[in-house]
Amino acid sequence: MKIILVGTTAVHHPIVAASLYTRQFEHGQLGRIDGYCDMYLDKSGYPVYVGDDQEGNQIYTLGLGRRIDVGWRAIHGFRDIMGIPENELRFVDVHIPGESYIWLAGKLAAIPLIGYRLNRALSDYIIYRNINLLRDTYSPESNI
Amino acid sequence: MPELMQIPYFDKTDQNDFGIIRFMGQDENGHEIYILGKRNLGWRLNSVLVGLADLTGKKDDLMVVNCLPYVNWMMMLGGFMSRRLGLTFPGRPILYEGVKTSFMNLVSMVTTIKVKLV
Repeated sequence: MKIILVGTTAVHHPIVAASLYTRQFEHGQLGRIDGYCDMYLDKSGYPVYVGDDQEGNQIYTLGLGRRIDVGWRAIHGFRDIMGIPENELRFVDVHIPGESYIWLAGKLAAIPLIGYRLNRALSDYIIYRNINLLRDTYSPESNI
Repeated sequence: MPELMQIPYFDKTDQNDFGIIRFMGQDENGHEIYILGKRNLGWRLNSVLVGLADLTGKKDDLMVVNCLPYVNWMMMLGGFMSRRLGLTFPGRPILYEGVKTSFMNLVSMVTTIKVKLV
C-alpha cells in the first residue's frame, strides 16, 4: 500500500512525520532529514517518497498549499474516479499548531540570500515545539 | 444566456464546491470528462493529480487540462459578483459577456485536446 502524509507543504511537518514513522529520524537535527525544507521538491507538486514502513508500505508526503481543504477533496475525488481502493492508496492528514506559519516560511524561502535560512529557522522553531505531538501521532507503533 | 444556464453547475456552485471533481459526461470516444474548481491552488493541483496518477500507474488514464488561461476579467468579475457576493444581477450578465468573448478560444482548446487524444 502507498500511504501519503498530506500537509500544507510536503517538505516540512509531513516529511518529519513520515521520517518518524519510517524510523529514519528519531532524535537530533531536523536538517538531517532528506528533503526537509527543500522548496524545489515541494514546488514540483509530486508526492515525495520518504521510505518504507515496517510492514512494507511505501510512505510519501504531499503538499496541498494553504487551502488544504480544497486539495483534500480533490485527491479523494481522484482516488474515487480512478477506482483506486483505499487499501492501495491511503491519505493521512498531518496537522500541527502553527502550520500556517510553516506555509508562510515556505513562501519566505523565495527571498534571495536569506530565504532558506528564514524558512529553516521558522520551520525548525514550530516543528521542534510540536515534535512530541508528531512523535506520539506518527510513531511506527501508531496505527495511522 | 438561457443555453448557458442549462449547463450543469454553470454559475451554480458555492465555496464548498471547490475541490470537488464532478462528472460532466462522456465524449464521442468514451472518455469521461470531469470538472474541478481549484480555487487558488492553480498549477499545484494539476501536478498533484498527475503525480498521484503516476504513482498509481494510471498516468495514461488521466489528462489534466488547465482552463484558467481562457478565463478573462469579465468572467472573473461576473463570477465573483454572482457567486461570492450573491449579486446574480449584474454578475451573471457580465459573466455571460465574458463567456461569449472567450467562447471560440474554449472551442479551440477542446478541438486541440480531441486531436491530441486521437
